[in-house]
Amino acid sequence: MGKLTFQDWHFVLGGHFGPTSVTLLCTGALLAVVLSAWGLWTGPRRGYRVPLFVLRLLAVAACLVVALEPTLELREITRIRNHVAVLIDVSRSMGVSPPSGGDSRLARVESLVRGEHRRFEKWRAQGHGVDFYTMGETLSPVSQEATFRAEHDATRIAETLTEIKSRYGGRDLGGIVLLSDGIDNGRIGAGPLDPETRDLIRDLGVPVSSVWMRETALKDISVATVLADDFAFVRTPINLEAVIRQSGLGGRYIEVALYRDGQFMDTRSVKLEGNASEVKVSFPFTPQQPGQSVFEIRTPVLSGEALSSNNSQVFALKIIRDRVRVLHVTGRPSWDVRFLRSLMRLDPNVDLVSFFILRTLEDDAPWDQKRELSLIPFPYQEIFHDQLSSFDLLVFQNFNYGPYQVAPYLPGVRDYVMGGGALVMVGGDLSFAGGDYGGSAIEPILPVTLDPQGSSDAFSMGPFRPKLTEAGIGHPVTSLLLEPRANQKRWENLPALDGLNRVAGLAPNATALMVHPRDKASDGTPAPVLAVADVGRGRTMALATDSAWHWGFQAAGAGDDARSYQKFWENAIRWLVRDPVLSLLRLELDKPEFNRGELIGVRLRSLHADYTPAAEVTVTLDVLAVGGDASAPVQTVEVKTASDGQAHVELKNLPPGAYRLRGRAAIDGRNLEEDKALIVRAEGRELQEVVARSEVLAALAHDSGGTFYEESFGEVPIKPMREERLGRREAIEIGTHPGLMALALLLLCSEWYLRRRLGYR
Amino acid sequence: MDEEQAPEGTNRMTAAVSAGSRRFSRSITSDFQNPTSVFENRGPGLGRRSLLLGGVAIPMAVSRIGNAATAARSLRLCRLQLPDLPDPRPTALKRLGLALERRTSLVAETEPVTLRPTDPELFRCPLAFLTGDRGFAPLPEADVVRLRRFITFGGFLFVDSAEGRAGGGFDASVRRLLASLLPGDLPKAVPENHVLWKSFYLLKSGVGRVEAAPYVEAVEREKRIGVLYTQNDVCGAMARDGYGRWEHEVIPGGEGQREMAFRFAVNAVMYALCLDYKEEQAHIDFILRTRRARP
Repeated sequence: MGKLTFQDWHFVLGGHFGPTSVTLLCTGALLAVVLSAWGLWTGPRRGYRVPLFVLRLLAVAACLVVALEPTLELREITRIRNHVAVLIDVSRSMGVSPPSGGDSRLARVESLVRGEHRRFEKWRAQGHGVDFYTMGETLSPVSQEATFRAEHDATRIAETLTEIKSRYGGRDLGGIVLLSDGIDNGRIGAGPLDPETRDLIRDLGVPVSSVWMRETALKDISVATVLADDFAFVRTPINLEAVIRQSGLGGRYIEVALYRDGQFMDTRSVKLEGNASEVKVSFPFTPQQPGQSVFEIRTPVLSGEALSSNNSQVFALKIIRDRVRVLHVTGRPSWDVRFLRSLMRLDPNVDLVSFFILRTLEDDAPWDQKRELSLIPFPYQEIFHDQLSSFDLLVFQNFNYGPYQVAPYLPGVRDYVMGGGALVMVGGDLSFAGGDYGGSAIEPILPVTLDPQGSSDAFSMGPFRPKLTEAGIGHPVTSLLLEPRANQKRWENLPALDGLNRVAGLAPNATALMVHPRDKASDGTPAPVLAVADVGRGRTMALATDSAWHWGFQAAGAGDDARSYQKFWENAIRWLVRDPVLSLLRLELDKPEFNRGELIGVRLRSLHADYTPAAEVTVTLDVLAVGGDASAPVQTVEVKTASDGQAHVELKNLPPGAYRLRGRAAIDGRNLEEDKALIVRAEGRELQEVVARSEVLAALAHDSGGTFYEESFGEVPIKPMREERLGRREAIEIGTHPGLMALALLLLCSEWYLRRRLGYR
Repeated sequence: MDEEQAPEGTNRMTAAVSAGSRRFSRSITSDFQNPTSVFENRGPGLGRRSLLLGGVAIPMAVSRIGNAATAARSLRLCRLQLPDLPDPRPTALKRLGLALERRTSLVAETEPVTLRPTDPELFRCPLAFLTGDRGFAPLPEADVVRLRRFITFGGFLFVDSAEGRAGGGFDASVRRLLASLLPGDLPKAVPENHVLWKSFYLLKSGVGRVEAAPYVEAVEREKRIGVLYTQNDVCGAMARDGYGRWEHEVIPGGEGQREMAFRFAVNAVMYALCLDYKEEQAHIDFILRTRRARP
């Protein structure tokens, strides 16, 4: 508080008159003066008019003062001390030194603070408080004499000003002095100021002066920004973009590389222009499989660079499937084709593209085929070469590739499946061995082996009711009902099939889910009717009949709800495209990116084949470094699921880097594996850019009425201290003073005496 | 054009799916230019045209030989038989089967099956034809329920009036039957942009032996036609006796109209089997281009 003095005074009228009375009295007094003046001006003695009028005026005024009883009040004024907040940026970028050597930015700030010691004292002498803070991820009060260390992982100027506002909510703030390199990685970023920050400056109502710690001759390349969404859709092209920023390295060409899960993917050559510039690099990319991957965009480290740690950025991308894109190719329309198409076209989760062979070379043609037929040429090259990778699932339904120039593309189909695609071959007389697939490029990926081409009994007619195998009882594809026995019974009650594609046997890596009750394959094992296989990163299924539609339409004729057919195909499509919903071991993270030292919580869920919780399952969780040795986990944790099939693991002290979490468990005799990507960031995004920027600091100073300085500061504007009139006060009553009453009486008497002497009445 | 006397002069060399497309020819030609093509090194003396012919026909031949001993799944055409309603066109479906066999990739049975609504085999035959030339009595409730189930779960009923006029006794009976089968879903004229008109041939209307009604009606269920109803005696135009003579004169358009009746029947069968396949984007551009070129 300041020194107490009576610096303020004012009059107060007597408390016993209300405003109306005061008005009446004043009006009466004025009327008396006017009437008196009128009488004098019309009187005989013109030479005494003015003295008489003055006497009367003074007398009336004295009487009015006595009547109104005015009081003189004297008051003390208190000046409220306000504060100047000096904010010192202690983020890691402030530790950058000039390329020529010398003090770092923060060391220069320290020198500046020490050098301006007298200025701070002067502010204190003027009554201002001077408060020092370090700012980075958080705001911390420090003493003026403190030694600062550039160790914070972020610079968030707007967020810091918000905290300053709340800190000084009940106190006066006179000004802010911000010492920084201007590299904001909070809300403002590279600027310009966002509306929220402008509102904040207006609410603060104080000048924000900024001192820019620049670095003009710095050499650095950084992956400043990665422009990529958090998620992408399978088989939908996206662009992974990065802004490469350089300072002092213009005129050079560099190679910017893209890595996925530690594996090199692509590279771009870019030219660095000028002394300081930005260039955007774009990597077109079409994800093929759902899941989560860690991507890295990396530039080379050139000699003389201020920092090498900002030459790459890692980020996680979750790849999801919006709709299952199915390519349905059939050699001939049939009821089996029609009912499968009908099912898929009504499924909102399926994006269906079909090609049916409606005419062959042997069929009659009208004279003007182009104008009379609605048929289009079979675009075999487009679908099997150009567009194949855009599909999640390829359905060959009773399709013989031979006549349609597809043979050269079968190796591509095989590679597509091996690379993560899915193929289902549905039977009919044109399918499997009947379609000459024996010995073809895709036979090795089928779940069944085939007899050589031209075998005479490739497709046989005759009703049969297929039998579920042991594997088929609980397999996701054949799970019409959750309970295995009920599921088995459900299958037994479905209508019989009619027509079987004969195969040589089951492929070595395949699983038969349904077999013929009597017929044998060429190898003597029960003839497979439905078989599945994992092939490379993809999956295949063989349905060796063209009468599966009996499970729907024929079943409906027998009074069934016909849902078995729909459920079977829904299951099959989900399993083939590896729908995560079918995963029986699940890992869940709150977020894909964590800061160094942050606790990483992993939730584990284990499920039985019927998707009920699997309790007491031992799950081994390996933490693998991306790009590192998959057989040498960084950490391994074992945990057992509780009765609800869930467990929680906390990972601590993971060093900065990109990791894959791999969960392994055996549930009901099946070995399951599931993985997730995560990133532990070393410095947040603080060192992605180290070249000092003045724009944000200048804008803050300009918009708030402060001053922008470079490397020094002078008389910064500070808001005047607020004055409070709440101290001691005195009242002097003027109206009741005896002298004033005597003066009024004397004036009245003098006026009366003079008037009588001059002959007035 | 007559499906049993199809002209042999049709150029089949460039045909595969819908033969004659320049685009398709180019694609094959470019394949030959590909050094890795399966058709290369077939020896000197073979011109590009010969290679083209071989490139298409030889694999086809191999495929057919390979399949020669393999039973093919045939499409069964079924006639729905109702009490007191004799079939006025008993030879029509055989001719339709032959037409499908010769004109399309379908393998069709030429001997149709006659089924009653309560026949268990009805649900092995999702495409059924109902033809009549007179009114018929209302069906028993059990038959109605079964036919309703047939249509609801994916069956396709082609109803063809052989009365030779619109609004006859058969028409009244059919409308009464449909009202009881699919309450609330009255037959509506098939719009000209419906996929039915482009499921195989490009058509503008569905004519038959006569042009009794300028429109074809349909009842749709779950975005597909469940019942297709014409009063133009399409089966009458297709009927042919054992000596190969047409059983009925086609009026007023003569043999051209008969061909259109066959095409309409083929489109109806193709629609039943492929649904809205021809409305997929890949087909639309081609069809629009072709339609624009039509006089």
